[in-house]
Amino acid sequence: MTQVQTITGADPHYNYGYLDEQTKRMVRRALLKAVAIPGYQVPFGSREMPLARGWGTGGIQITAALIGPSDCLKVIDQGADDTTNAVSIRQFFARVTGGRTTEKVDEATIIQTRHRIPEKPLREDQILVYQVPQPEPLRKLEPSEVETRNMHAWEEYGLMQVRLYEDIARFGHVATTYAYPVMVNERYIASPTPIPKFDNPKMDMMPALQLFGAGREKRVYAIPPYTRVRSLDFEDHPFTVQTWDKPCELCGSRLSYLDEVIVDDQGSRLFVCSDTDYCEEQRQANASEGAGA
Amino acid sequence: MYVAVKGGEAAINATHALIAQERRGDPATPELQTRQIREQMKLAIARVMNEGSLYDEDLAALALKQSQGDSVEAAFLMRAYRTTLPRFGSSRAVDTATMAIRRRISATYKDLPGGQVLGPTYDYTHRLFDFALEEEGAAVAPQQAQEPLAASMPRVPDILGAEGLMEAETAPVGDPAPVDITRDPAEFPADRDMRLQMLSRGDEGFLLGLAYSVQRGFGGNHPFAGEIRMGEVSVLYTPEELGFEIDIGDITLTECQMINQFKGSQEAPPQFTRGYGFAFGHSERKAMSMAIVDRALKGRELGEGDKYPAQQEEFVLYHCDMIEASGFVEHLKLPHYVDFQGELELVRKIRQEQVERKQREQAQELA
Amino acid sequence: MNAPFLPGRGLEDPVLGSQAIFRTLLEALSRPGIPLEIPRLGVEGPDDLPVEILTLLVSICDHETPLWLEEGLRASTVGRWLAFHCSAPTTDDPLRASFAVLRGRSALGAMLDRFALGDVRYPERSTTVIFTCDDLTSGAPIALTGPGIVSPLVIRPSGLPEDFLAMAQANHELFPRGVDILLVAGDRLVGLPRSTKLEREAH
Repeated sequence: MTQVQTITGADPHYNYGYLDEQTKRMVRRALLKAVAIPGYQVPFGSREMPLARGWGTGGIQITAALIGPSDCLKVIDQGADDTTNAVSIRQFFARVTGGRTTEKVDEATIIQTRHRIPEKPLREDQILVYQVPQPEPLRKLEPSEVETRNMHAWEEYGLMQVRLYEDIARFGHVATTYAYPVMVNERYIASPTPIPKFDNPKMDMMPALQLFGAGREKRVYAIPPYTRVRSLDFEDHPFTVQTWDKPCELCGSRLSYLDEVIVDDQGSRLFVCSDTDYCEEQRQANASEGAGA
Repeated sequence: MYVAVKGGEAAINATHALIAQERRGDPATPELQTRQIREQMKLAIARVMNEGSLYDEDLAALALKQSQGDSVEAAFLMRAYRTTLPRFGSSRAVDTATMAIRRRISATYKDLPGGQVLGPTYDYTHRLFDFALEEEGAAVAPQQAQEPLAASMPRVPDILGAEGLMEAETAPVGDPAPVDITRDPAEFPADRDMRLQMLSRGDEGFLLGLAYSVQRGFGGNHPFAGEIRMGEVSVLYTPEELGFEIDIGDITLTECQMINQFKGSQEAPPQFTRGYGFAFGHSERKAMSMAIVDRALKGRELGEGDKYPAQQEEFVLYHCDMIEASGFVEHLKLPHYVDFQGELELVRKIRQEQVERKQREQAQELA
Repeated sequence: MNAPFLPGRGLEDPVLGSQAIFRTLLEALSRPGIPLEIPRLGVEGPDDLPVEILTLLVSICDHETPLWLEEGLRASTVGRWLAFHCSAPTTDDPLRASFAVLRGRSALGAMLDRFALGDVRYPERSTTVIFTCDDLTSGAPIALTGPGIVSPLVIRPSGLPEDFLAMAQANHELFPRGVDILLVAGDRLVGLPRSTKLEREAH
């Protein structure tokens, strides 16, 4: 009679990865169908998790179904490893798997993220797991699930085109700066999650697999590697991304997404990289260049 | 010089210690025991079991202690724990007709077989503080009745049903097993089994508000409380290994059947229709509200329309789960500065563009 | 005479073993056409089906996933083995199958259109069809394009039914409906999700 090997470091009160095996299989089967139908939201029997709904339970269930002893997990929120919820989720997985975690994107095999894509291009051996608050990109236009399911089934996306064009008529450009809707594999409109539109281009033909989990809404969806992802736009109003006048105050990068920080009572502002790991890497590169000079 | 602050991990550890301190309160006061909560706060226990979807009074007591009495937080603990429990089968559907009644009333009959049994209720108390409760006191023992309650307490809707006046509860074609919302995601339009399950774990306050709206005219017709019963039922289960049925214990349940009128159609003669409410423990407000909302949601099948919120299936069922609702509402506390950054820049940009446009227009006018 | 049922062995480590198999399956369907190794995980069972197939099934199936097997196999000990190790029920109705196994050499045809194809509103409700084949290198070349494939990829599976390519092409035309296909040759796995376009490549 073989013994199941004990995972050293994992909390013995819980199954590896917290979820029971039957739940993992259910999530896994949903993911296998999701990658076969890029951008389509697969309903799944989302379970209650020890973290609150709205705080990443969908992403957590996907990671729990994926993770194994050879994985290394990075968790970020708004691009930072150190925000309290990212810390909380990382601690949760360390506890229930005894596995490796990291803040360095290079070392990670699974990256669970809330609302940002890492600046550094991801590799084929990595999986990006997005936390999704509202998987349905049409929800603001149509509150009924029955209706939106039909719209996706019949590719009836006129409502979305009209909505975007209304912005152009009113403001001269599309007034959506995050959760900017994308067309996946030229078939399904999907929500990229509330990432800034600055990150949308990274999704197109990404070498890594992108998985999306909405725990509360009970949907998963996927974008396989090297899949076309196009941000919706119009010929006369093509999609554009945000730019800043100044570089990152800490590392000097002009390429990354910058957060605004208020530094004094007069409202003085400066800008720093949202992706803390990237910023750290840039600063170290600057330091070693400086030393070499 | 701005330095990126790191400290999330330390903050989290500190916060756990702070909660523990707040939970304990003044160390000079004796610590609350879960036994006390279980015995002396039964109505809070019932609510936590209902919305936590788990019948376990000891766990509910621990949940209330751990969450300092916050019933949503306590229900969350129950739900998360429930996720980890292995499932090894289903009991037989409980038979509330065989309930060991402790309370049973009907507003539709002055008297009925088995009689009106008032039982323990706050309904007829005067809402005046009983300051004696500030001190510990002798328990007041109720007097034993002369005769036991009637063995047979038929349910009121069954009485009406025998006359053909009440819509029958018919199983769907093929009598399939009911859906299990804890394992499969909801599908809309929702069938009644899905609706009832979602309502039974729905927040009492939300359902109460919706039920109130129905009574005040936002849809629905006047409901009558056909029957409310509360007491203990046996849970019967056939383990695979034994092959025969065993009684695995009693649970306390509250059941409410609301009776509404249906006007009838060309084909169907007028009949009463029913709304069904069900809750663990002694939970009348919940069972009654659920029954009213259950009936309102039948509007689609009965052709009554869905003009009002209580009749709108997706509105009611998506938003009655407090674990999901509180999670999402409270998630607003999570950092959103990246998204907000985008909005900030956009607002500044649009305002600037408007200023520039006005300046151009004014320049043209002067020209 | 009825041979006694021999349970053989399931996964040596059910938790980590099924996780490893899942990652292989996910990779196969995310990167169609790329052969992946199916790890040896200690599974032992009746030899009517390759141990690699049994390993896949015992990792991903359970009481919620009816399994369709060819008629010859339904009565064999494979069905009992699967019921024992993962509680997966077998079905003779291809429309009810979550998973199906066809032995490429002996299958009468690819029969892809007889399985559950999903619904345009719920396209995921379709069968995953697993074919055993002889190898991935000596058959006629098939060019693959689509999501997950960075540049056109060629596979050369041999030992599949004659109508396999035609049926797979017809299946792709149904997108987003359609079955998803897995090819198993020895210890190699290739994924062909419905999103993959297949074309006969000229030699």
